[in-house]
Amino acid sequence: MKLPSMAAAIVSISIVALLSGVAVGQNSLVYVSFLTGLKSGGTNIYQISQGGAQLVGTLDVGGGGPVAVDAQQNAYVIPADWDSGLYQLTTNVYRYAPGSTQGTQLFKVDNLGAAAMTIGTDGTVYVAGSVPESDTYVVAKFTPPAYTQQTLSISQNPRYPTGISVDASGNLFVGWMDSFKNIPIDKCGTGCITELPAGQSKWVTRLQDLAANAMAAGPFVTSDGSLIFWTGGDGRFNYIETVPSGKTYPSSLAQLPPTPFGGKNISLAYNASGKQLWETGVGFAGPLGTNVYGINYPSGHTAISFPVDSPSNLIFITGIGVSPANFP
Amino acid sequence: MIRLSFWPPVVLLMLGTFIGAQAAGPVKSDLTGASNTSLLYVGLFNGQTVNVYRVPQNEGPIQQILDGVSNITGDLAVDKSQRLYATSNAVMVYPRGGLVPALRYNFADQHQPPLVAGTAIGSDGTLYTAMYGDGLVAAYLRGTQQRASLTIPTPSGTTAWAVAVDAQDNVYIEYAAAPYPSTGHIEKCAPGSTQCTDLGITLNAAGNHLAVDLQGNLIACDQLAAKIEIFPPGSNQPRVISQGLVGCPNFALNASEDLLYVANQPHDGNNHGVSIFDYASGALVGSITAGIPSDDLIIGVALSPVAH
Repeated sequence: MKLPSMAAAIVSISIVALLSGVAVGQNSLVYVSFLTGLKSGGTNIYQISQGGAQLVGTLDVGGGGPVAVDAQQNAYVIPADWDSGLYQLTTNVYRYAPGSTQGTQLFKVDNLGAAAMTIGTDGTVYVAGSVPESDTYVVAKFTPPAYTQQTLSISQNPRYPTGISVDASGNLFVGWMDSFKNIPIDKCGTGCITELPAGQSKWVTRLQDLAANAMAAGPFVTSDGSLIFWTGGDGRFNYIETVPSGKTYPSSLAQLPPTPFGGKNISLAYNASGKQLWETGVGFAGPLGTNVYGINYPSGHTAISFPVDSPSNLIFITGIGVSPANFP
Repeated sequence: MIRLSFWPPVVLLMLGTFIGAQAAGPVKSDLTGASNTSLLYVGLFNGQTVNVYRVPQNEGPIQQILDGVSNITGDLAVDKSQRLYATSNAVMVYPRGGLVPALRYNFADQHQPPLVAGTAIGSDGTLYTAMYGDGLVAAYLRGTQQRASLTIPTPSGTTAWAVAVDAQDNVYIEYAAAPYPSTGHIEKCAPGSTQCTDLGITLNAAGNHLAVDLQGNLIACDQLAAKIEIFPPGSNQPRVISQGLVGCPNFALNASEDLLYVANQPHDGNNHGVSIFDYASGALVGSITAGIPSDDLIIGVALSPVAH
């Protein structure tokens, strides 16, 4: 079922959007996944157009963590399955064809809560997340058609995945927020980006906690091997950094205001044109009414913002995606 | 587990209050202008920031360094390449105009957590740190952050408050018993040596910074007397700069060595901003208070470029 015919059937809400006049990604869809209960959630679909943002549909699956979009503009979402300790218990990935509200379950993995997800050009699903009620962090891939889990990394080091990205060659990058131990000795002490080079089994630290200090979201790898990511301190600063391939220091940095962006508790998506990032707060930094921001890259100018103000029982946002998404 | 809106334990350890950057929108990372533009860095403990000013323009901070610093707990220093060294438990290094750290000295070879007071950069890029908590000065060669190449203990019963290095790589250590106030002394150590000679200088209380100008004059702060004291080579009789000072824990001399910037602050805080003195005459010629709340603690003053 296509979205335009669905729009009348659902509560379609005109979103009060702030459009600054700066070019935004036209005719793109922004997916916002949200939680309404420990076992319930959904995913709002916003159409971005010249007039702003409009809610055009809501998937009845979502709230289980991140959102991803593949090269064919299929959306991947995860249903809520939280325990009372706010640990997501399963990674149960559904795929939605462009514009459809009828999803297909691809696979379900127990004992893994996804925090970041991306899709390779061949449809492989990459997930970074944690084992519930533990400090065990996992990076795994699921290759179609069987989507059997292949664990790429498992660690007791309590870092939190902020994003995952794969380039055309299959090099995989994972962003990590704060290690809680060995500070300040650990080179991932306050954030880092690790890389699993294509065809290899040994991870390397692509960026340690200097350029990647205060890691908040990302990275996104680009076609020239640069990494784009967000660093932030709640109420203090928000930087969009770009670090070229082979370098360890940003070649450019956009400084955004310390507010209203969510500091560290954010989710980020990168559009196909490579000219826009989409940001929103997640977790307790993403309650009902939280804004979504379309931010021009690399300038950092906010081009559009709109609140996520439905459904009324939204507890908090868990992830954001954009279609078409960027594929290096 | 989803990220919730709490700070992880490492951040909860931070003390003081936040003062967020006031940027109105996205800006370029480097607002500092041409490399020959003089910059003043002022470290603020509560603000958890290093304010960056263009000088001698009398304007507010042009940007704030926030990433990589929590509370500024020790000195600031600048090397010949105009890199800023900011002490926030670890010493974080920023390229000129940089807002994110490029290098970190975490003192893994010292007692944890490290407690660094004064810092100085040698002509070869060696970082010298007065390890207040350990009663020694540690030297880290450029590019070697993991292990000190030299440690110089201070005399028994004292600890290191400040350190300076001259063009010949002689090291000067300001030491006193802890806590404040205790009588301060200064010793001179030959390059690469732990053999030091007391210079016969007595301070009512040590400051947090020490410097040597191009003529070899030693610049120290008598914090209890609120006086900058300038000792000619071989002398323990100082020239004094004190006009309007209520304290002088940190200071910096500009590259042409005609202006001295002093954190005008008594030991218990309540700063009066940064006072600017004509170095030759000692006359007060200006002050900077913009961006420096009077109830904050100035810990660290540095200028870029440095004289060399």
